[in-house]
Amino acid sequence: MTTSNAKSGWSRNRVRTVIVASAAALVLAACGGADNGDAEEAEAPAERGTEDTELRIRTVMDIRSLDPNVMPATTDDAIAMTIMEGLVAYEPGGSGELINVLAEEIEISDDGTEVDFKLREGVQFQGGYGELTAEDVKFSFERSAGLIESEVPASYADDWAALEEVEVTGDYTGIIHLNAPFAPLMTNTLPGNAGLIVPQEAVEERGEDFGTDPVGTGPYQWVDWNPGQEITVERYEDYHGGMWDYLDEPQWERIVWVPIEDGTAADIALETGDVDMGQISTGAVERFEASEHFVVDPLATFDYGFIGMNVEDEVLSDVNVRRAVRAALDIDSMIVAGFDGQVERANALIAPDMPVGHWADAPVYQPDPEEAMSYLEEAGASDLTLNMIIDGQVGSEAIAEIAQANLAEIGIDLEIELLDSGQYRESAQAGNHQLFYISFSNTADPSWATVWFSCEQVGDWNYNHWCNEEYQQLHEDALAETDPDTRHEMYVRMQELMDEDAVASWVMYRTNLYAYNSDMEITLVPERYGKYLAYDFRR
Amino acid sequence: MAQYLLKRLVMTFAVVLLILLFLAVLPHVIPGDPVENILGPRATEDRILQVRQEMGIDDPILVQAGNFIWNAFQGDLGRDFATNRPVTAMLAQAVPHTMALAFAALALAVLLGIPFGVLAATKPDSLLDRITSVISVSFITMPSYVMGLFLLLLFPIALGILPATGTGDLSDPLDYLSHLILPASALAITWVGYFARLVRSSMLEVVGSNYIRVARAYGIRERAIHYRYALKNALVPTVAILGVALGNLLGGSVFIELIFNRPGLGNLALEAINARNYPVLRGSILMVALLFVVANLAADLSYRFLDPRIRVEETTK
Repeated sequence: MTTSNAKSGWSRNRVRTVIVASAAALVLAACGGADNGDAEEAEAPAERGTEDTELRIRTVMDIRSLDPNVMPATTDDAIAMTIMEGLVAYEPGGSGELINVLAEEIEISDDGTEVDFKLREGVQFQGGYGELTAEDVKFSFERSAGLIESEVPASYADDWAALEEVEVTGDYTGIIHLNAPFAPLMTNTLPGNAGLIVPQEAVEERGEDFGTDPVGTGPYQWVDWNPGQEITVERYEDYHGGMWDYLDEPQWERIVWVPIEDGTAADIALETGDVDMGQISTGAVERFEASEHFVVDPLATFDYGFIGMNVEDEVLSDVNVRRAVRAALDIDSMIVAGFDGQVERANALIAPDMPVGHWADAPVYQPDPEEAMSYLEEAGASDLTLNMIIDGQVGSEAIAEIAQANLAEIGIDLEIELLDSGQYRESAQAGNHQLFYISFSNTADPSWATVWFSCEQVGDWNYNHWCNEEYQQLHEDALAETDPDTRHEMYVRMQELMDEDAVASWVMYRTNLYAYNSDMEITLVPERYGKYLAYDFRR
Repeated sequence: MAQYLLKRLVMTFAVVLLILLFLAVLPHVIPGDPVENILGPRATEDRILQVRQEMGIDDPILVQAGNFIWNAFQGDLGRDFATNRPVTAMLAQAVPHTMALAFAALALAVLLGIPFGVLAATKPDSLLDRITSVISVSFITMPSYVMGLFLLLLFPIALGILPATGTGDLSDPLDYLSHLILPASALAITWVGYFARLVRSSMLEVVGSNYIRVARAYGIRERAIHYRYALKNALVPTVAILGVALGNLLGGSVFIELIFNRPGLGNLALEAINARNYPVLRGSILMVALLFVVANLAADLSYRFLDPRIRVEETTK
């Protein structure tokens, strides 16, 4: 699933971005001078051979391991999704509904602790590993939950926190037993990474190498990985065809991912036709949109960015000071300056399309210096100096500078500290900071957003150092709450608590921008429900 | 010469040892936790502990440093934290691309820079000299990544010729070379200017010396004087800095590999530092350092070989 990497590797591209973006700006400014100030247009991609059977996609990072027990990067998912499948998946097209893939029937018991499943019959694993049976399901889920020994141990066992065992009742039938109801099971676990089904024999045979030589039941099978250059999959001829109930059969014999970390290099690879489709930088959107040769598609995600406040700090421990800061900030300008206006403004933690938990009535704060001043008076604070740490991720510098200007208006002097990601994290964990900007990645379940603000995360990922008992209790209870409406109310209440305590100024939900040649037809599964489905692109 | 060689080899060994020592303590001077980068925030405690153990990052610093240096001398640089591939195998994949780039750039710099410098020196203070000096100074000040972007916008994008990204297919030399043209040119540009300036000034120095005056007195043609007698001596300083140039080009290749998306040493190191992937980082830094040291050694020895005066000076001392 949208796992950790956006969080843990959040400044991965900082060095690149700074160097290359400034150089690119220089060059583009120089070239643009002669163009009467018109927006630069992206050039037509160079003609390549009529390769209607090969699709080339830019991926932001090279793969590390596609083993469902590892798969640390979001970018790996799009590749894994063509090779491996789970019992269920989110419907292509972004309705948010679940569809059966390897399951023919799946039913959750009323008390939420048993899931009966019946497998599609006659599904063959790639590489001659035989027919899919309930034993494979048992193996895959229990391995992923860390219940059985594995050479590659489960990194995301929490996705299966409530799993007791998987009981095999027949060749094609079984029951997933939970020790308590577990709400993320149907939103995140089964349709996600932890729910991918792999053949026991291949996993045991390949050990650690399974991650770079994976086997599944999907429509494409692994060909090879040329580190730093290409990852290739090809059509799996004996595919069971389950997805073709929802999609037309794909036209691609091969799909190749080209890892290009640098945004400018990626833009160039698209323009020269080296890749057919890929994520572009926000700065390049105008250029690609102005061109008739390209289509730009924004894909909203559940990832969120916010300006957080360290509530354990002496000055910020006063809720009125925090409210003053929040009332002074101009979020809309930050979105324009930091992201060229290409992201959606956030007013609370949970994004709108989340199955449950979006707080639609969250207050939309507009900059109000007068109100901010009155909060400061109430707090009896004057001549304040605050610091704000940023790690240089996209947009963070512009956001900090706007915050600086906003806070200057109410007499707060803001010092911006740009830190390396390691230093940033150490500082934030130790609580040596006051304000901070950060963006975190997120999956299709609200619990994976709320967890970072819980008490046990203080000193780890809870950079706000905020610990609220009611919030904590709600977070734990909501995990076991199976009624969506009640669960929804619980998450809304948690966000209200954050709002009352003014722990953060929410800034944005990330949107990833993809560009592709205009002769292609691409239906992107909104990323909020997983990833783009590579084989569903058409040319 | 033998004594000198021995001295240089001992020095080189000492430098390598120092580098290894630095690399051994590297994880302890850079903040950031590699385990978090690899497993992400949702990993379970047990798994984190286990990975830490596998990596050996909880061992005492001295033990780690000792292990690293001992293993390094045996040709074992550890395994990639994330993919568990041996670092040596990753280096073996990346180094050829970087070497090809650096040598191609060096060749370009020499092939363009030297004639440029000679040309400027034939008629000092002429219009030609002034023009070449403006060009070479602007080349020197042009950062390679800016040049790289210029070339990319001009050739593959505007004109639609020459490949933009990647390295091409090594089994198809023409394809590989065509992928090398733009990045090598971008990387070479500074050194074209630098070599031109260097050759010009040493040429002028040599041309003013007594033996050239004698040659002129004998009525030898100017062209022959320049190319047959003066250039040979004027090239000695250039050869001497070839090693430095190569080292610099290897370092500069980081940006170029980034912009042209070439999977070389620079990209490897940058990715590794972002992920705090210490084995890979150590391996790639060690490789760059070794190449640098070897290139310098080779340059030192080669100009001794080219210029008998240096050898004579040493023996008469």
